[in-house]
Amino acid sequence: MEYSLSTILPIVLLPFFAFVLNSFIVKKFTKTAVTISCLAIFVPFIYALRIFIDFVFNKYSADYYIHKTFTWFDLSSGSQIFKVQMGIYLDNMSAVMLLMVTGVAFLIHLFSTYYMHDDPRYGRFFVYLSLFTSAMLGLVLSDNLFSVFIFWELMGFCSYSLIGFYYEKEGAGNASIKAFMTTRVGDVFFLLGIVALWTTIGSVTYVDIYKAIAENSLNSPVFLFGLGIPIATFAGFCIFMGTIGKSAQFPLQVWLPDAMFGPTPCSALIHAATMVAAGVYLSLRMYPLMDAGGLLEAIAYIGGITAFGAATIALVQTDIKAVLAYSTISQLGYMVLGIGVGAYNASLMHLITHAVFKACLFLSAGSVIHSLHDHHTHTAVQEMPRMGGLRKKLPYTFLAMLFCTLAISGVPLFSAFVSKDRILGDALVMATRSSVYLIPAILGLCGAFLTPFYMFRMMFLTFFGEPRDADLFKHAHHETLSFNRNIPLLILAVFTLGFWYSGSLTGQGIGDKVFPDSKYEWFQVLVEKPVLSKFTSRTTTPLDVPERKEFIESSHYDPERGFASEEEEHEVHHIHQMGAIASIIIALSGIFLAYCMYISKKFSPAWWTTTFSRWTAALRNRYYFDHFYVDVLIQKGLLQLNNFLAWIDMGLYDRYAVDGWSKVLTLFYSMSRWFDNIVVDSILVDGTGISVRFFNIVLRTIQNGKIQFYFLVLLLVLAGYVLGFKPVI
Amino acid sequence: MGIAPYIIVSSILFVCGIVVMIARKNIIGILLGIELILNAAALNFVSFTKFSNSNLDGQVFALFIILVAAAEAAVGLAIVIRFFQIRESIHIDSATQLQS
Amino acid sequence: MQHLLDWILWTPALGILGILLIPGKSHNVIRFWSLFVTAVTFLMTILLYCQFDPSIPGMQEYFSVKFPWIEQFHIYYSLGVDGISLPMILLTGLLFFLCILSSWTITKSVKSYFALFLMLEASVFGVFMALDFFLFYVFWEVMLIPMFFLIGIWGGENREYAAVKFFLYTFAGSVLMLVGLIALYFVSGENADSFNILALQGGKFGAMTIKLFGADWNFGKIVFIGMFIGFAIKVPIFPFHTWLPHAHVQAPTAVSVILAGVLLKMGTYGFLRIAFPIFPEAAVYFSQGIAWLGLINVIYGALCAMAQNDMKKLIAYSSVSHMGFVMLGLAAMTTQGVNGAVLQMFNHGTSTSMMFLMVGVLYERSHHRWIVRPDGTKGFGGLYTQLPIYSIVFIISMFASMGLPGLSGFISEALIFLGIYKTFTTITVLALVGLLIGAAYLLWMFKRMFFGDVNPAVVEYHDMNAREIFYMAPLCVAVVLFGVYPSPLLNMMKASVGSLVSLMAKFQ
Repeated sequence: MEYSLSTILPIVLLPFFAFVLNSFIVKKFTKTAVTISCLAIFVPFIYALRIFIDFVFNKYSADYYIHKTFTWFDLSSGSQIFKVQMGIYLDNMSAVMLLMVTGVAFLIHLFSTYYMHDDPRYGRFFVYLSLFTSAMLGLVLSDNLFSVFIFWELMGFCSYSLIGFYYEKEGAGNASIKAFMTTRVGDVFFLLGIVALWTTIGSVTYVDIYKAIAENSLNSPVFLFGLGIPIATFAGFCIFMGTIGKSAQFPLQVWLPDAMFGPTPCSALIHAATMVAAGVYLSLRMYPLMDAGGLLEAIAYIGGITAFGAATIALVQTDIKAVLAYSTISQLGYMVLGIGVGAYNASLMHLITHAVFKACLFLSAGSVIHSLHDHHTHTAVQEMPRMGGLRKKLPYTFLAMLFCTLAISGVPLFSAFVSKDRILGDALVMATRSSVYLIPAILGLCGAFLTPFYMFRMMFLTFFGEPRDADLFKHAHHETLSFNRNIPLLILAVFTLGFWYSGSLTGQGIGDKVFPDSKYEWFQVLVEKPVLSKFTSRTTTPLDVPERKEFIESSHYDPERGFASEEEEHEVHHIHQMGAIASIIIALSGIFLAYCMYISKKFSPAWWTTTFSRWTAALRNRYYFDHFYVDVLIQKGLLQLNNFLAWIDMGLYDRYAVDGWSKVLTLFYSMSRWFDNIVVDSILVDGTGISVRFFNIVLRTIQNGKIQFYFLVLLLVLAGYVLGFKPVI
Repeated sequence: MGIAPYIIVSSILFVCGIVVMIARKNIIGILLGIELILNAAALNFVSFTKFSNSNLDGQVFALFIILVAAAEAAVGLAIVIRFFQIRESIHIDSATQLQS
Repeated sequence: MQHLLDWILWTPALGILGILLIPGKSHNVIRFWSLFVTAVTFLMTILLYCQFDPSIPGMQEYFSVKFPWIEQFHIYYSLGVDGISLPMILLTGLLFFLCILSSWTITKSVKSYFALFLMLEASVFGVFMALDFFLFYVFWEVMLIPMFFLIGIWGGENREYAAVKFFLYTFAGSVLMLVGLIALYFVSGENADSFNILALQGGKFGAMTIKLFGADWNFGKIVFIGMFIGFAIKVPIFPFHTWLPHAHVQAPTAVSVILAGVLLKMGTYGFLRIAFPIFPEAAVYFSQGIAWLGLINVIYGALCAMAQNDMKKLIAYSSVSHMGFVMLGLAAMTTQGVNGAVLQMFNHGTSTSMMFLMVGVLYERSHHRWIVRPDGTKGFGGLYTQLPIYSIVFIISMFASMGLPGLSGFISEALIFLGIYKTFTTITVLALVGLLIGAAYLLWMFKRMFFGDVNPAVVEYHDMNAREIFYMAPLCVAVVLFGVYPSPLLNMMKASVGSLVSLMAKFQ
């Protein structure tokens, strides 16, 4: 297959064009717009499938990639050279991500035609969906961090719009701001990381970053507030902050549970295929940077804390979507933990498997919610305490959800058993090597026990037992098989089976056919940590030139790769087996505990909540994170600071320092007015007049116009002169 | 008989003229005073000529003075008449302004 | 076509003559005439763009106009255009055209309003085209007169205060500039080039000293500081910014648009055209300080904006914040930084204008601008439900203003960050906080106004009419187009910016 414009670009451009077109026609031609949207994701799915099949069946090695670039804009003039290049980067990882995103997004589109059908803003929902998907696809195809950031932010915008979709609700507004702002905290760091790398290396393409790491050129320190931090650490930290924000890791996890204010299919999209996956995907791409920056331990800790903490919060949630939301955070924690312990491949695998079962879980939850309509308040019901016994009414949804729950619980034969246990196994391997990793590994295992418990608690509360709200149950419609309601669920449910991804318990599965000589499952061969030394000599091709043939042929997968030594391989296998057995036991015991609590009622959940009431309160309040951020940091901190500054600005600075000049001037002008009135005008000016008047009086008596008087004076003067007096005048 | 009696007469005439000019408020009276002064001057001219040399300069000057006095009286009277038409008075103190 | 600059400059002035001939009662004739004049001017600016040769780094000889004006003092009427002034000229042409449309609802002494508006346009063009320092100063001052009356007569309830404050503040700055201008004239030898901005450039005054208050000072630094304050007041840079909220809040919509969209750029344009190239040593010497001031602008403006309850005041403070980014880019004196700054000047011109126009559209319906009234009740609420088209345009302008990728503000901000990172790492890190808060106050305002239940007061508002959509559409297109494809703007400016940057680089 030739990789040129026409085989790659439609994947990202079709949904984007659908977005542009639909945003104009959606009001008048809602149905057409919806059809266009669905087609515009189905066609990219076909393209992605083609690419995927080509990559897998041609057995490209994990470090084979197609890299095409074009200049977005160019600031070069004279001797200063600065170009911003965009491009496409396609390797095994993007191929599998593309397939996952397009596939899951298509099924979500399909389900949305059912779920959103009666919504007054049916069409507009699809406008956002198209943009959301195209942004995610663009992100996956990006060859550099800058364009990743652009699509990253676009997804932020889409999530903002979709979470605030029901804008009549005040809470939707709050949730959408919360989502946007929390992720933006990470985004800002991400941008900083990009800027730091760009200024240091001169480019932010993956290839150039790998090259720079391989050449050890990222060790120069960054001076920040007088501290010198190696650039790799600094940039790696900043970029990982982006992941923390987008993938809802501790301590920025608060936005994701609130994201359920959006319509349920959009939650499915955010939680599974697009938004949160982007963060993990970015960290996987930047794994060498974080490795070089020595950040892996910290990442493992963040992942472990998130995986365990979110699982504990999920234990007490009563809203079906909230349980799923916390399970998403927890599972994302596993992926990040996987990155931290170097389980590169397993982390991506968990990303894919999680996307499939979490999309299915959310869509199933949507199907449940949609069937339960409270006729008193005219709202859909999401509260599990009002459900129960729904498996009779919703058999297909139940089936799909059961598959997914088994998958997420880590039950053998299902997907997460493969992916999550590989992460936990690697965590255990790392823990045996370095005690630093002990705590993340233990946290991960504890989370693995809690996951089946809270997931089955949700299943039991929703589908089993007697209906707790009889009226609601009575009005719930019986589910019939329809192409846009159950079929997407069932398709996704099928892909929760483990054998699609691996054959570790069922023989080699499809991997046998594709990679017959391999010692590993096909997925494990597909992706591996970038081998940096291979990136130092590669070149890129322009966008419109097809990939060179010989390059393709020289890049097939090498079946002989493996561990450094037999002993090491043996030891690792040993620990992995132990881990697998442990996690089977843990998963089953979690399920059993849930069964005892909610079906056979051996233990009462109420006993737990009353005995550990303080802990329960902490869990119900999400460990007070929201309280801390919203009430303390924002209300008490930021807003007070703002008001204070605004008061200083207008009330103090402007009023006194600026307008104060007028006071100073008033003082000056009243002083000068006094001087002018009294000294200058009254004394000097008027004084001159008065003196003139005085002389006037004197002179007027002399100058009386009487000729005889003048004559007399004349005579007197004459006489005086004669008598010897000198005249005065 | 020396020159002294002539001088005394003319001085008396002159002083009379001055006194009339200063003291009188009637413009015509003042004009008359001026005439007296002129006559005093004319008398002086004639008497000094007679006692100093033998030409007729003094007499000629006296004639001119008479002539000028006549002309002056004519002009002065004309002004006085005009003044009287405007102010209805020939009182000298009503003539303190240079405008009508 | 050689006299295109003359035509662009004087067409609005001729338009005023036209207005004077129209009877004051026939409002529509005056409006259409003004619209016609500004439209013709705008078309001529586009013509200028078409004939512009982006590969020439300096002034375009082809368009230059120069003849003596006051010969005794070597003052020339000298106009020119390069890659830095062309975006500003285009922006001016576009915004004045759109503002005439948005001023359609003015009913108070229509004749003088439009006459003053055209006078303002002519003077703004003059500032962006003048190559003679004296001419520049004259246009700079002439601009104050129509602004003073436009704010003082057609403004809000506190208009006289705002107008006087605006006038005096700006005037105080211009006085400093005037002193610098005269000092330059004498120092440079009172010859034919003493007012020639281009001839003065290139760091000729770096080594000179001046005696002042009995001590020797560096001439370049002293005059630079004076001019800096003069331009800083216009930008406005903290601590000279407080006239801005008053003027914006009191000014009528169209004047706010012009004020934020064009007049603020005159300050930064002054730096680019005059202060930096004439005194490069001083600019480099003070660059650290300028960058810190820019940073204060960014953060302080954003924080103050968040506390505002008046929409216009909020946007006014957001302008302070965004202009801080421009100052950061300028202080960097790198290719990316200065290009980003000029681009940000243009982009801020479009996005803030959109915000102000949107506020104006709402104000015509509500006659108030309170997000939250002083008594604590919401001023609006549920606008999204009530005014769907308005909301969408508002979202576009809001996200353009906060720099969402794909809309125009992003590229310029990213370029500025790229430009300053190397020289001012700490400042870059802190400036990103401004980016964060920049999103917060806009979104928070949006939430309080548009989300939630429909406020009873909002129910009778009608959505945007055709005229309003017509004048918002070009800005929406510009914001999206230059966000996705900034090359037309960047190609226009990069050669000129490049020559400025290499001039500055010689002194670093």
